[in-house]
Amino acid sequence: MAKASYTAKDITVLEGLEPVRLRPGMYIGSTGPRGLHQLAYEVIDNAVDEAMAGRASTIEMTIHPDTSVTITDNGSGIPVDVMAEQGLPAVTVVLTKLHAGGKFGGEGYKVSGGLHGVGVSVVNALSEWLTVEVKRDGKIWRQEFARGEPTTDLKKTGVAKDTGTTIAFLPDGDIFEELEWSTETLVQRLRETAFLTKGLRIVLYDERQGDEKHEFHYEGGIRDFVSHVNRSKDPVHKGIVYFEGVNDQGNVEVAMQWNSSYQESVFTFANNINTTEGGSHLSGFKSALTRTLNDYARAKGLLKEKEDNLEGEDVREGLAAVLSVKLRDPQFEGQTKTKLGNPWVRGLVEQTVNQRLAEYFEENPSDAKRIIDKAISAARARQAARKARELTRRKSALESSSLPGKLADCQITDPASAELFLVEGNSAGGSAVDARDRTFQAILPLRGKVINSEKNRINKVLSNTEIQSMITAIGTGIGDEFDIEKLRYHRVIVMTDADVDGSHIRTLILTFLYRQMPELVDRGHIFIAVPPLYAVRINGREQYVEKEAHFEDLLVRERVKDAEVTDRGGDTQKLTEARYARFSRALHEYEGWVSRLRADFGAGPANFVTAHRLVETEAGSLGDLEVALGTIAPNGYEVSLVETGADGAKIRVVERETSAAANVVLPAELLVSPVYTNLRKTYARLVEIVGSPPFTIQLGNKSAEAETFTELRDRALDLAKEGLKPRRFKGLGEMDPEELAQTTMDPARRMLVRVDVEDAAAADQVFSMLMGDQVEPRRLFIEQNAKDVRFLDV
Amino acid sequence: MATVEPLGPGRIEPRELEQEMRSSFLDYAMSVIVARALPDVRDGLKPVHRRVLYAMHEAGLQPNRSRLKCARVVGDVMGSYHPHGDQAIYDTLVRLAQPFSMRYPLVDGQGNFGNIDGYPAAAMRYTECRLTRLATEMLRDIDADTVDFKPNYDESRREPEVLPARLPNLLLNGSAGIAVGMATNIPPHNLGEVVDALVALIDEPTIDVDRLTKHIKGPDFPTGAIVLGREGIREAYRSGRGRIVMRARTHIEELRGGRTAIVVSELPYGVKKGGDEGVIKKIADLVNDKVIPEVHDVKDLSDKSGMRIQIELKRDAIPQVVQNKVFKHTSLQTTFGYNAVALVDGVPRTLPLRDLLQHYLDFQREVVTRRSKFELRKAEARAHVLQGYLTALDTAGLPHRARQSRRCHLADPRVSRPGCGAHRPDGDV
Repeated sequence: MAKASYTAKDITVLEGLEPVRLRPGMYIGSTGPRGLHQLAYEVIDNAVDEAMAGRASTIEMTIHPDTSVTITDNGSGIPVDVMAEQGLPAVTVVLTKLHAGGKFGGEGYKVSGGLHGVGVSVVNALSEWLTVEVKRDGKIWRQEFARGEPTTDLKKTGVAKDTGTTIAFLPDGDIFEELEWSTETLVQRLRETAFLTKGLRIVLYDERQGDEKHEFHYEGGIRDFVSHVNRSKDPVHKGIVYFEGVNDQGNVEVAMQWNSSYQESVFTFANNINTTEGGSHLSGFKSALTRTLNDYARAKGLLKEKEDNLEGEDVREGLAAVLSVKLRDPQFEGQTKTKLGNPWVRGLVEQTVNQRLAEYFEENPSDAKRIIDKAISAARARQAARKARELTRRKSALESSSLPGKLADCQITDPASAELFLVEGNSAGGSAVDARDRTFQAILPLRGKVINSEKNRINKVLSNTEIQSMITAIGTGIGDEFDIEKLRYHRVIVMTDADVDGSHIRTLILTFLYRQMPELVDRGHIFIAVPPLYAVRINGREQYVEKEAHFEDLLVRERVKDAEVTDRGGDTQKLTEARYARFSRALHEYEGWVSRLRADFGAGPANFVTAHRLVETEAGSLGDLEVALGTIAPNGYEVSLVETGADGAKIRVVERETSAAANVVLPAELLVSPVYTNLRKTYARLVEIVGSPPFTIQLGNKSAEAETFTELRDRALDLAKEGLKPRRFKGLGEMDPEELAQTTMDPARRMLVRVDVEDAAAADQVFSMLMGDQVEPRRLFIEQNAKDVRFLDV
Repeated sequence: MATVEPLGPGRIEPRELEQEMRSSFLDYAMSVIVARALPDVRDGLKPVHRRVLYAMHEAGLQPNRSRLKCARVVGDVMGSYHPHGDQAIYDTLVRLAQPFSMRYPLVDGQGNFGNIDGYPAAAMRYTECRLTRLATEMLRDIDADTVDFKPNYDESRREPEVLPARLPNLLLNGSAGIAVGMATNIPPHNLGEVVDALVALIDEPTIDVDRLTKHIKGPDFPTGAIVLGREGIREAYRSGRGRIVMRARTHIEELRGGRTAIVVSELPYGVKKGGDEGVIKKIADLVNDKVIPEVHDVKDLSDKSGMRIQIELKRDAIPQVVQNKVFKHTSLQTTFGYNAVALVDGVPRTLPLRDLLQHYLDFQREVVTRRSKFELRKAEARAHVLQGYLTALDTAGLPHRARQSRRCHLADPRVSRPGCGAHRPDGDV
């Protein structure tokens, strides 16, 4: 074999922002939704730093229908003066050079959170386009970029009386898999940021559907954070405990309130960074809390001499607390660098809590009594639960094997290679056992709906047989007895049916696992199986699709590309993959505008302007209406203007075939509204891409009619499905065991979803809201999110 | 966070726990709200009811035909439209036939369909059923393109999204359901009163709730009994929520032998008479616990002539006092928590009376319009064909070959028998 040469010629140095585009995951975390949102966070964190330095008071973020975002702050504006060594203005350097920023020493920022960030140049590199506008020294400066490269120089574009920075960008669709901004994720993050930065006002505008506005402004800072955590719970005492402590290296703020639930929700932050792995500040907090409560309880005789001390878990049961420390030079350790090192912080926190909490108890004895009583009852319940667990253990020792009878275990004993499938009882259990590979795959069927571990106290949960089976099979024990070393399977996979009851059972199982074995979730041992949604035979091959969106892609790739669309004018063109992609994107935006129009002006007028093609005319005001109505292409209806008034025009619509008549009132503001203008623009784009409706679409020897663009897409997909007979799976029992094995269980072919917890505060909220006993927060959640649900099962 | 090594080349996608919980729970909650536990404002039916009625209609179970075994109906509903447990479907069918549950039963049942003491119906292999006359009104005109249809769960058939509901079923029979984050509880009402209110609303679209309550005085329970006070009713109709206090119908009787008795002849809606959870047992428990020591005995003397619970009192008991105690401690007096939640355009809403009636009217307007359009189209198509014949006959005369055909009467409506023209067997033209 000839030796290949390896010389300096083979080494490449990546310049500037190239490395970011080559390995985006390294800089932004991932190219999935998390990475996408991280782009926004980088920009926002910079604005927050301005606020922490006392220079900004408002941050506004807008999501536009074309999925670009604009983030504005009223800080001092990124500096525009030229940097000597770089020969470029500072703002350009910050946006085009990696690791540039005001945080690495110097007077720029005293206490900043952005150390974790890689800087806003990464955002620039991963955006199809980015514009920055800085208002500073009475002038407005602007520069534009594409994929990290400047397309213009920094130019003065006007005058300004105020200061601030605006960055607008469109994430690059070539890098990110899906360009879908999640309002909930952003709302959670922005709200949390507002809590941690007292007095900062953050506003989120969502222009995509309807006109949503979310505003976060908390003068109470982390006190309001605790209120928020407890809003769906029952507080044990009125008022929120709050105090601060400071020394020459930093300060600590603590807010606490106990509620009547059984969960502990303590969130810690260092320089506004969520320290999910805890650290020195959390340890100080915990030990001071336990000590102070015990001291007070004994001093007041609430805890008798012969009784045991309260333990940490008892004291923290039902505690919602936020601990925020700010310091110079924080050291972050741990797997994901979310654990605070800096040993001196422990001392500061411990001292502060010991002193100030004791003071609070002295000043509020009735609250203190309630808190102590709760801790004591928690201690008693814990002892009762321990006894219940021992009873369970003893009982299983009497049985022939210590594993639940229903568990179909696997052969190998090495947990690293073994997996456990938690399966929804009857329909799936049998199939799963037939489909598995018994060397390393174990099956545990769970009958019926699993008990809700959020609504019930631990003794009731533990006496449930399905829960006991799960605990024994997994092997680690729960709560304070949890021992990760005893985990019998490194992969615990939840496999329920694809229907809505399956979804419900999945939430119940996840609730139990997260509340009783959270370390399993944190360490990435919990997975969700992804059974296929459709099976379809295309070109001789059986293909399985897990997501609705992929199915559409498949149809487009294999079938739709041969379709021909003839529009109103008789022009025919092929619906190629590229054209369909543009059509689909434009249609999505169009539907977003129609929704907004409907929300702003009502269904009647909105339907009128689209169905009767007023959008094709140039009518921009009521005056133009009569002429415009005369020019509309015929569509089976006769449209005439009845009268025009100050607030709107009354139009008569008659269906020619049946003479059915209806009246529509078109408000004056509609025609001049920006929503309508955007709607028309998008409509025009659609016409450019596929022509004007109505359409005839032909695929093979079948054809269909479509009155609107939406119908065109639906008919295209229907025709693509013609003759294919796709099978839609609703339950695991619908599949043959071989199918189940190949598509869902075989590690070589399957897709698994790994459950991660990024934000423990948010996760805690969600469980408490969805699965807890308070109805109102749940109802509100459903009401606010109902429109996002895409499909409904029987 | 430690990452577990994948066992093979299959993909692993990370997902936020919070996101997963939200989306899975939302799917479940939405489905229960929109497609399980809440009725549609237009026909007052939950999906399971609608499917039962539609399946019975498709099977031709009209009131004038013979009844069919319930097991066959249940199987049909389950296999064609409702992929859930058979017992749940049967329980639904049974309830639709019970005169003490439904003010206007929609199913006409034969056999044991349960009773007010809580005894269950006979097994579905024994009982038989068909639609009632009123149920046919719910389905009338369904074949005239009055409602939209959608594919069933496996896309092999179509089922109606809503029934034409020529009767305002939501108010007539009421509805009760527990969804997720919300629930509904609507009592039954009187057909005559509701129709009068609807007509009043048509005549005067801006009518207010106080005038509407001149027609609809309150709920009309199939089990009778009394409502205490109008305030609860008024509030319920005004806002969609209210507390309506129901009380059993009682009278005081002198029994033979000198004792006095409180006789109960009607129970509040939903209250069970006998059995472990019945009101009689509750009274007995109270006597044993010495809460109502004045009661000597409780006898259930109900028979085919009607209900009769006889609460016999001791000699010097004051009947009014005992009656009040019984009302206070048992469900002989109980509250109906009126909570009118129904689906409007697929969205759950709390409905004051006026809105509820208005939605129904809007729907009926649409049904009638659609039916008219359907019939118009049908008539026009027929007219078109007839015009074609006339033209064919008038312009060129009927072509020779056509006259010779034995079936030329089909081409010429003036001819009523097969064959025409010179070649008919008996020579007639």
